[in-house]
Amino acid sequence: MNGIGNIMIIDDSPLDRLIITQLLKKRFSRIKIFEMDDGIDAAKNLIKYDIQVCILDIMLPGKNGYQILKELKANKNTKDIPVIIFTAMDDTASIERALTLGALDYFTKPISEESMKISLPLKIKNAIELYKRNKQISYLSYHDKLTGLNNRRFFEDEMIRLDNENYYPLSFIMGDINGLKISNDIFGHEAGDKLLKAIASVLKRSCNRGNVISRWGGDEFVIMLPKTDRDKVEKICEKIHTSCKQYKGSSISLSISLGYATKKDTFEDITQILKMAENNMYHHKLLEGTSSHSSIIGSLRSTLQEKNLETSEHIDRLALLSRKLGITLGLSENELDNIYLLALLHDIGKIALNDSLLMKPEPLTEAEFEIIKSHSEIGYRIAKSIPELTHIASCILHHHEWWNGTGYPSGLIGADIPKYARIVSIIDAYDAMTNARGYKIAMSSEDAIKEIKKNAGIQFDPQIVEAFCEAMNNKNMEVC
Amino acid sequence: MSPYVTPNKKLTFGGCIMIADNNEHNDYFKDILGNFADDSGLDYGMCEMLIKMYITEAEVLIYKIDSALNIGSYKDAIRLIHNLKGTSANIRATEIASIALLAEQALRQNKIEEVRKLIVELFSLLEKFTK
Repeated sequence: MNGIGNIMIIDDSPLDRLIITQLLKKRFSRIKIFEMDDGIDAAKNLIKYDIQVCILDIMLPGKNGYQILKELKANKNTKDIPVIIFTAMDDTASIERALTLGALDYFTKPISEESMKISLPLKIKNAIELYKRNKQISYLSYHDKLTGLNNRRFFEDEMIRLDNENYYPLSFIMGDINGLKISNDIFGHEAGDKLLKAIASVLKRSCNRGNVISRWGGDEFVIMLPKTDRDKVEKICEKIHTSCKQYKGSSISLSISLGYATKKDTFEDITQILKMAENNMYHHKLLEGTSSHSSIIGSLRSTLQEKNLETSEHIDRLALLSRKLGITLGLSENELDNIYLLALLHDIGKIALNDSLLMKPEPLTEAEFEIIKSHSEIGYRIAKSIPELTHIASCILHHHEWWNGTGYPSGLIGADIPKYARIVSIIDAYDAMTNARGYKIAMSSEDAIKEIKKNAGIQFDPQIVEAFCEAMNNKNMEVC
Repeated sequence: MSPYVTPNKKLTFGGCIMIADNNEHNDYFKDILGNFADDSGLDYGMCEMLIKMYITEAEVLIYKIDSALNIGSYKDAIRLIHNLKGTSANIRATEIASIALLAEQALRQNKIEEVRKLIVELFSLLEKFTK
């Protein structure tokens, strides 16, 4: 039914309809023309055939054109469809009447040469374009562009309409996506958008017809469920959680905290019910908060491994080495934990980089190297957004700084580089040298230590290099 | 009581205007065809078809007007004459359109006998297409 333009001609003369049809078809090939010889079911047919402009004769059997026009303008489903009136040339009164009733424009009969060739087809075309633009604007004013769900404005209008005992029990589900900020920070806003769209489709799949699903704010969604009691709402919430778990579209698991409340009686204040649903949602969010964060760290780590950026052996070795070095440096147990975490996650920013770039066997171009270098900043943003990792964020940022100030990203010098970053950079370098990685052949431990010593005061903190050598020489050290 | 008591004998037989299929039209037809094609910008074949349809539709309209007058439903008669006027003007059958206008005006003034005469005239004009 959706042509470039769907036009309805309401005229009781088949010949006039045919003439208009031919004039329009001569100019525009991609239009669809529908005809009626009276206006009895005008509104119904205009909706049924998705009409974008209606050409209406005034003198009709049964209802006349004015009555039809009045009805079309009074119907919320047809009031925006442009109507162009056909009227006798000298009949200024009827032109005035039709335009007053809301007709967009008029043609006079007999159709003049100019009208046939120019203004009739072009006025129709402009009316269709106007209608389509208006339709788009009204769609956007009631929908969220990204997810295609209804927006808050629509929801609030519907809330007034459905706050009626015919629709009780009227339930509300409030939902807040988990991990949207992290997803935006790590993978960029496109990935965040993908997450929002995924949630929107989960919600659509999980809800029933007649439920009003809308995007309430940034990462918040709200669903209004007329004639839905507590048990049914609970089932829908379960359905949403299950669908989220089954979703396999991104590195970050899809998760949403939900809360609901139900209005059963007229005297209950609907805004309070909505507030209750929101409070329940926050309550769940707090309960789920910790687990969702640790699941985020878990999923970050598994992504690193899936991408073959870090093997679990490498991580185990780093953990062991960092502990050994930490003990030699006389660090506290708490500090040892932090070093361990940093050793584990210092390259976390790499998950946002392109696999083919990370695995590229050939030497990198300057531009490619710049991209690779961005992993420390991305890692910093990731760590910043996860409460458990905030304290090591700046160490992640600076784990590629050099003692002499020639590292990246900030070119920090000496003790300005965070201590944990200075420690982990030595361990990471040692492990990289002593283990075969891709095209690189493994070095012996002695050679690697020699290389590190050579770079003391250049790349590495000389004092920590000293401690590192000591730790490496101390074969009997107990680390656990 | 209906003032229009004498049915028009000439109009008692329907479908009597025969349109030639061989496209050999008379000058009356050709003149109107030329004007309509020039004004509308549609091609000749299409215009010819539309005029043929017009002749048939106009004939039916004239019978309908006649019947409406016979049973005294002037409101319908006015609408039908109005339609005949509009369609005729659109197709550039200007003579018929102007007679229809006179008939519409006469009917609005309740001059039924005059309307009756004008209807006979309309019918003869329509016949000119094929004579």
